[in-house]
Amino acid sequence: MSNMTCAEARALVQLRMDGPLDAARAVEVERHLGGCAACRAHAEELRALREELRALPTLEFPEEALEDVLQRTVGAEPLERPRWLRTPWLAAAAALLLAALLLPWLAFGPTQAPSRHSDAELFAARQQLEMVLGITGRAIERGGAQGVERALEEEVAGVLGGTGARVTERILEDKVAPPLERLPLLSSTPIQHATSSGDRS
Amino acid sequence: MTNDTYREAVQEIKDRVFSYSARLLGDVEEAKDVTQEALVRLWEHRDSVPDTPRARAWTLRTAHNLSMDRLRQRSARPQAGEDVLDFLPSRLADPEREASGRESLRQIETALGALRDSERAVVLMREVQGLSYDEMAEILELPLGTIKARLHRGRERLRLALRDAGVRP
Repeated sequence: MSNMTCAEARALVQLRMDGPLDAARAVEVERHLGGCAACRAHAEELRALREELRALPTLEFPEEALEDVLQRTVGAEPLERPRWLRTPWLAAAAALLLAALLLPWLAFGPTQAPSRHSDAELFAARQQLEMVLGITGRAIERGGAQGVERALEEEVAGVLGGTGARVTERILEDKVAPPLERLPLLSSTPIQHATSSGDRS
Repeated sequence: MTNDTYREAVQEIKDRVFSYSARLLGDVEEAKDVTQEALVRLWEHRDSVPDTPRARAWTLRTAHNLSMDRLRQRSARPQAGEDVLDFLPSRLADPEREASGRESLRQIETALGALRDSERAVVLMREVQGLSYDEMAEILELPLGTIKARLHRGRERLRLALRDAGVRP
């Protein structure tokens, strides 16, 4: 048996349950346990106790109590808007996407006779609509704020060009919502140009 | 934390918080109240609790503090064991082991209930909930040495109580 007392050995057995001992102490406590049946039994009881405590069943929180919690919390809230819609600059970014999406319809809506536009203008409008739909779809796939931000940064600015690109950059840099009157920003796009020259036959 | 992440966090932590509170208080009805209160407070502080792991530690700390407040207001020690045992799910499905298993559980729950509150709390956190020492130090706001000393005393008392109860040979 080592020179370690039983009290010292039992304290070390507890410490060993909390984490590894340093090598010297680990050897010494093992040597003590090898020669002391009482401390060996003590260590075994602690090990069994740990297993029994870890095996205690989890109690299930009653369903009616959970319902009450949800009623007092999420149930009391109005329908939640996505986080990016609660953030002004992101809401502005989303509005920009929406404006880009709606542009072809505004330009070639039912109030305007399709015959007033050339085939080339219709083709350009269709191309732009498809492009914006694609951008919007990818933004949604990427999810929330990051998706909208990346769509603006990488794609919408390039499609819109001119004023649209500058406002897009401003939104991304400042993370500030621009005044609403700055959002009809598409004057430099081919579609807007087509609308302004829509008197052509 | 959004509505959805709150719901997910609640689903994941509710039983653990309830189990901890029930065993600490020795009273299932009080544990229900404490768990509900802790989960509602989590909702009220959801902006400062970003994810489920943080929500678990935050809610457990709240439940711990609420439970300790109730224990301090009591004049008598909790009669832990019977109340919790009555609430256990019928998981001991093996009929042959049902009786001995129930009796063993009753002895352990009773021994847990007989510990000092501060010792029972650390034993529950470490050995039943499986928390790390860092998590325990954060929840209890105590030095590691104090936590370990309480844990060692709690284990030793439990060992002796179970031996006295005849659970150990």
